[in-house]
Amino acid sequence: MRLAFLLVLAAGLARPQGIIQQGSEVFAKTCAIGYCHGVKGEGGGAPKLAGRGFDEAYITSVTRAGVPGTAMQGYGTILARPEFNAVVAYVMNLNGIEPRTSGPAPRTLDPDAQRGRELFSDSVRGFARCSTCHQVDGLGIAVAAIAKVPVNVAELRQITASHVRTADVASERFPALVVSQGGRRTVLYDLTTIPPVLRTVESNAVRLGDGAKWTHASVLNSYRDPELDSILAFLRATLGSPK
Amino acid sequence: MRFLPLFAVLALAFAGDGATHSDWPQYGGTDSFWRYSALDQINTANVKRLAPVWAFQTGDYEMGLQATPIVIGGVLYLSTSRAHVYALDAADGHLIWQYKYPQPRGAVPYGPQNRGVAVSGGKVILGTYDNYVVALDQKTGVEAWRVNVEDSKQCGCNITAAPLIVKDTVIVGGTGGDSAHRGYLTAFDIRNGHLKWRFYTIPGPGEKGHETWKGDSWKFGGGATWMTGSYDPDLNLVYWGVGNAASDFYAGERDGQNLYTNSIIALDPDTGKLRWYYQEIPKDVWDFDSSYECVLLDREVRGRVRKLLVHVNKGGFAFVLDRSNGEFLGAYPIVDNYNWIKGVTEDGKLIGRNEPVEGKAAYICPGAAGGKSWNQIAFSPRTGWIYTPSLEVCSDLVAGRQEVIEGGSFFGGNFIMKPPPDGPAHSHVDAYDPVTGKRQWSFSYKYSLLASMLATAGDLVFTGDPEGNFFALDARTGAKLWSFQTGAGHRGSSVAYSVNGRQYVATPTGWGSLVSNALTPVWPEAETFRAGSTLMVFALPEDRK
Repeated sequence: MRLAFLLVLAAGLARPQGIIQQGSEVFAKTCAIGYCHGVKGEGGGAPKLAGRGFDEAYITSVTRAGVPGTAMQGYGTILARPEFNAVVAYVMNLNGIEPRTSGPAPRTLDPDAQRGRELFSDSVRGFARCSTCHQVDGLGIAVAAIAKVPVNVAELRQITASHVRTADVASERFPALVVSQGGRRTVLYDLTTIPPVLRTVESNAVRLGDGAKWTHASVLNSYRDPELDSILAFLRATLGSPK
Repeated sequence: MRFLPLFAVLALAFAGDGATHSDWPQYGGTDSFWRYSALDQINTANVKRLAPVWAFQTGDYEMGLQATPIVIGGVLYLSTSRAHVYALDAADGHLIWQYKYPQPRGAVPYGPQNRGVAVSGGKVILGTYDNYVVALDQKTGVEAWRVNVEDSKQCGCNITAAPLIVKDTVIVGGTGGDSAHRGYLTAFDIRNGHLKWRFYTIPGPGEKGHETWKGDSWKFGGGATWMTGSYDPDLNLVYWGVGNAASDFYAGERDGQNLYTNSIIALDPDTGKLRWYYQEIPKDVWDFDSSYECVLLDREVRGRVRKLLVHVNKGGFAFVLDRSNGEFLGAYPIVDNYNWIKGVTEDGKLIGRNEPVEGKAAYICPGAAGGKSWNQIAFSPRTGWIYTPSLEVCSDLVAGRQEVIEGGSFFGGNFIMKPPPDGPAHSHVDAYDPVTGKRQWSFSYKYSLLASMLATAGDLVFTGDPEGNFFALDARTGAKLWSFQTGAGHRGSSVAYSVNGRQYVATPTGWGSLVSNALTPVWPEAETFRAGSTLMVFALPEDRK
């Protein structure tokens, strides 16, 4: 047990950066979770991975294909390629192998943008946060794309959503963001409540009208102006400045 | 359906009808969660002739087949780990429709697992492994609505349990208790998916109970609601078990009682407001969730008929509460090996806590897999007994302070499974008087029993084992009366139903889940327990029923 702690300590002292840091984050949320490998590969319900003398080929192959008949699924088609490579690099690092690629340079956000990133997806706010409907920097649910980063808070607060329409379905009328319209079925987001609901309706049973009274306000009002300023700094840092 | 014997009718009248009849309409059978069928065509006298009549292979082998099938009006609804749903003819297994939830992009926490659907109001509702609630048209399987509960990558949570539908409200819990996460129940309108309410199991600033958390620990304190609740329509109360506090084994950062983790909560289903709570384990440091099923029955306690709630937690103790107000009425162990506490006082206090320590292994029973896993107990009004699955496994637990990564693993320590002091690891099914805790009989088994109990009016208790056997015990004696090798291990919940007067018993087969894998250190034979994903259905031969 003591040896395991020393190994864990050694891994901690290696000051993982770049790809290893990225790998440790993906690992903590994917491989360590539940009764599985532990955040530092110390094992638990699933086998220990740190200090096992695994080589790169073995780590890559098991991560890709999994172990049939166990809870170890194959991540080859599940993780995006950079995440996959990062996890493999992290497990290699846990086994004392330096990864050959360094991965992307760790991105640094200035403190205001970093604060904005946290506010964007601030879980304490429940559904009343930006990430309920927007996905930026891998955070959140991609209901609506952010077409243009507002110049300032005043502009953000005044955003009107002209593409939000009014849908009449049976006895319901609701603000709708149309995803697809086919001959048989129409798929749209119902924005009556937050979170939005993706609904599938018969095309001949829905009537779409232009314009809706829907505004951003219900979620925006959970933020104070200085907080929205920080969120805009985060959006500029990740999506680019308004042109 | 046949007429029930008179004494069964009397027992039902006494206890309130928590029995299922021709349908198996809800996850726990009915709102009362008895997992008991009033069907008695298959009984102790003829169960030896029980034979398979059809099987359905789902093709989705991930994490085994953990579901409870739902049967309504001769149609059986079955869900798999990857949130595929099948509507089958319950008499012959032919496919009526299928729905395959699109595979999410990226990894999801806790992996793909699904324990069942809920069916009501013309819709089939399920939770998904990337944390959406999905409603399908009951007749066609076409998706009607879909709503995200929280970004699963951020919260380290997802939905594995079947939802509970109360009137037009879909109530759904989530996993995440072993992640840095704050648990909740969320309710949606079954008609259109609109949010109705959310109840956080950890009170926020300004709310009563918030003072039971130190500093910011409430933000990531666990309290997942990862199984399915019960409902009392007369009291209009929903009951839900709340999971462990986090980090699981290290409480240095969350000094306090940690409400409402490890509690039974009673909510108004229309508003989500808390009516009462009872915390079984203040400041949990063993990962001993109270998240399992709440069985509702009416029985005499000390000379007075009470509306009871019987609940077995992961620490291997059954708690008996008055479900109208949460009053503690008693507790008793359902495991032989326990040392995490010495016992529970007459007023519900835990005595002799044996807590894991920082950086040093402590031998604690039951182990981190629990004295009972999420597979459910059953209650028979005919015998008046509950039937419980128990695990006799311990752990070496090590506690350690852990940095918070929102949504990341947050055990605050580690564990390895160990055999109990009284011999090799094993498990057992027992019959108990639910109020006194008096054991009536015990059926022992050498490996882990991780499938639910099903009780029937034929005085049978059905369950399955990891070696692939589906078997029936005599509800009154525990004698094994019938067994059939289904070819894969059992981790789901069997049900009974009837179509055109013929009784069927259906069981999911296919070994899997996180706990089943975590038990490998005490049972190396677990390497031979077969994965799979097949629903097996049994009945008496037609000429002899």
